[in-house]
Amino acid sequence: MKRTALVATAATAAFTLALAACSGSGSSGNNSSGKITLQFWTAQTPPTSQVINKLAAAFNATHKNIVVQASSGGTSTGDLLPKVTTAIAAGTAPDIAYIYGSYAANIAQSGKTVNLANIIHTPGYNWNDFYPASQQIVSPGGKVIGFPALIDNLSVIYNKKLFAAAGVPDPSPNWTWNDFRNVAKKVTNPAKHIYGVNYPIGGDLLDTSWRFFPGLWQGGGQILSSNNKQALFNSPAGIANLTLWQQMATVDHSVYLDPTASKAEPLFTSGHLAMFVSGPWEVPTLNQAKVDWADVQLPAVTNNHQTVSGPDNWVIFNNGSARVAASIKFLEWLTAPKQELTWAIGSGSLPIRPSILKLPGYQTYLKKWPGIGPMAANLVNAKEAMPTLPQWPRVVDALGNGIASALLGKAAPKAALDQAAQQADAVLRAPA
Amino acid sequence: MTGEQALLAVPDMALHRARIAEAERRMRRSGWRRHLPQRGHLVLMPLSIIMVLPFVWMVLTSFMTNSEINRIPPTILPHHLYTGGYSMVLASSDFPYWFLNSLIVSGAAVLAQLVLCSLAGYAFARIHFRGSSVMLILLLATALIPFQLTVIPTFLIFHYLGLINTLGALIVPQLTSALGIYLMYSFFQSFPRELEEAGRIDGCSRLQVFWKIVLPLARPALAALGIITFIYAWNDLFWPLIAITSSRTFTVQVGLTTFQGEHVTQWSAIMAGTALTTVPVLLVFLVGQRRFVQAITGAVKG
Repeated sequence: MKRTALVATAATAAFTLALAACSGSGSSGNNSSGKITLQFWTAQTPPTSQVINKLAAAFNATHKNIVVQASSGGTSTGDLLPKVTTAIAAGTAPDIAYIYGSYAANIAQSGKTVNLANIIHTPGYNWNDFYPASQQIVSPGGKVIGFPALIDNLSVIYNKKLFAAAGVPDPSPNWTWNDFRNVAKKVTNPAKHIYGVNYPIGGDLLDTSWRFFPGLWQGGGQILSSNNKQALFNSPAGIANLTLWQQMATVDHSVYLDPTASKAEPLFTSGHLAMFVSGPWEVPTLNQAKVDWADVQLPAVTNNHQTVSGPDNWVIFNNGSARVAASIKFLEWLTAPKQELTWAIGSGSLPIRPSILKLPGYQTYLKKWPGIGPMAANLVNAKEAMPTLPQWPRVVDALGNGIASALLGKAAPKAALDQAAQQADAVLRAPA
Repeated sequence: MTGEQALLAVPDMALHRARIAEAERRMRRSGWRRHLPQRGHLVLMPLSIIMVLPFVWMVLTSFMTNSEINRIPPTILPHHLYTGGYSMVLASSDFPYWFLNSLIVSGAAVLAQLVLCSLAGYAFARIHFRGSSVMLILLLATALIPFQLTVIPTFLIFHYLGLINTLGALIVPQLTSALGIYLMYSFFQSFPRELEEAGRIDGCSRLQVFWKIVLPLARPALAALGIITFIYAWNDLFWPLIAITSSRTFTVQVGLTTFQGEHVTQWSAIMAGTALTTVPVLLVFLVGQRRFVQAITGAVKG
């Protein structure tokens, strides 16, 4: 019996040692040769992950003292967040991670991020060459926590075949919201189950809310007060904007109200949706589906075609000054126009710097991604960013529910927005 | 007259031959009838079709393009056999590594749980020591704590052990489980003591009794535990998601999530990967299903 116990103990010890022997390969930091190894969590999925991995390899080949270990980080952006927060809590944060812009303020609160505010305006960074919305999103509370990683915007994507079948000409870039309503009504065909346009009213309520912001801004409204303490989206501009959508949904019946926020693309590619308000991420799917489509900037209230952008960030975590310096060096290289153009051509993302549109290789990008040109040009209309504050996800939920109740005809636009504003104010008053 | 004709000429022998022929005919008929649907089958057959439908749809979907998958109304059959999803999974990702990692983790978990849970379950059922009941209750109580609550301390422990981003981080937490110990404990509680006593009288030590008499008779319970452990380890997503960073150390479940982007999901690749991933689980169930059902039925009968 004693011999058996001894054997069992020895086996357990051997097993533990074997496991320990398997470990240690993924560690990062400074090694004895003076090289700095950076953990770079990209949150990219194939095939774009292959593009970013190649870029990291190209950096490694030309920078002998820094080794960037690129990995998706475990999974895509949404699921990366619990992983990053766990790693922060455990003191094992990566050096750089791709984080949604809407989570910038929450991540900044962790105390583990850097503040690059003092160095970004030095000439080498070309900080002002990033679009304003990107600059704002990466700077929650004035603290610059990394570099812009991605920018997008909303425009109107339409099915040319359905427009022609309804005898409706392609929209002019100078169109108004009334033109938009009329077009949606004309192309709607209940007999053939064709809707003019969609509006998501469920799922991720940020999807519901951010389609409301362009109309609000164009009419002179604001989402929150300048000190982020009060909701202002229930202004006359907000009410007019929501009233238009409500009339389209409840009077014209030209809007497909999507409770899952996932049906627009399948309905559009199946010929059941004439228009949808979306962004550049649709381009590969639409081209693969061989739909005859085009896109145009959003309609205007009065010559103001302002759109909304949801930029994401490369966030740098503070793992010591040497690694932060190496991370900055890498991101400065990665976000330079040349590398960004390579990234845009490979991934189909929009150019993150206006200067990229002037590079000779930009034409290659336009040829590879037909239809993306108007979306890139529309970036000049992304003049404002959504607020970056820790309570933002809950503010968005309150507003999203208000919009949904108005579109479903359960509440008048003013009442719905007033109630949402009250809820948002309560959230904003509470400690973050 | 031949010998056979001579035999047939005997009346009794002819009668005997006729009886044999009739019996053979009946047997053939009853065999044929045995394959006709019975009343129970009328209920079970549609149910089995309903059960198998999602799997069939998954396989069909894995041969469609993303546009076909997203079509409204839905497409049931692929227009042509599109293998782009399989190409993306097998050629453009680290799927072979993910698959192998999942096999290693699940296999190690099954082996460890079969050994450790049966030992612990047997100890709780047969060796009465001070505080054993309290220890058993405390052990079962650990199953009530959601893993999300303990994820950060667990992560820290594995970080200090240097196991984060290694398969060790996935194997160690699954070496034993409260459910597994309880399953084996319940089985050993109902195991006849007389068999063990007979072994002891014949001169076996307690471990020899356990190894030579108890364990061979515990095969249904061990099969059930093995299947449950394998399926749990194979499907686990949350902890591998947190503990693993490098693509080549992913398990299949974590790897498959990388086909789901912020705005775009590669459904064809996900379905192809899921179809490939489901095969081992199905095989494990098909091989062990009889024992699995035996064990569950036994447990219900209590």
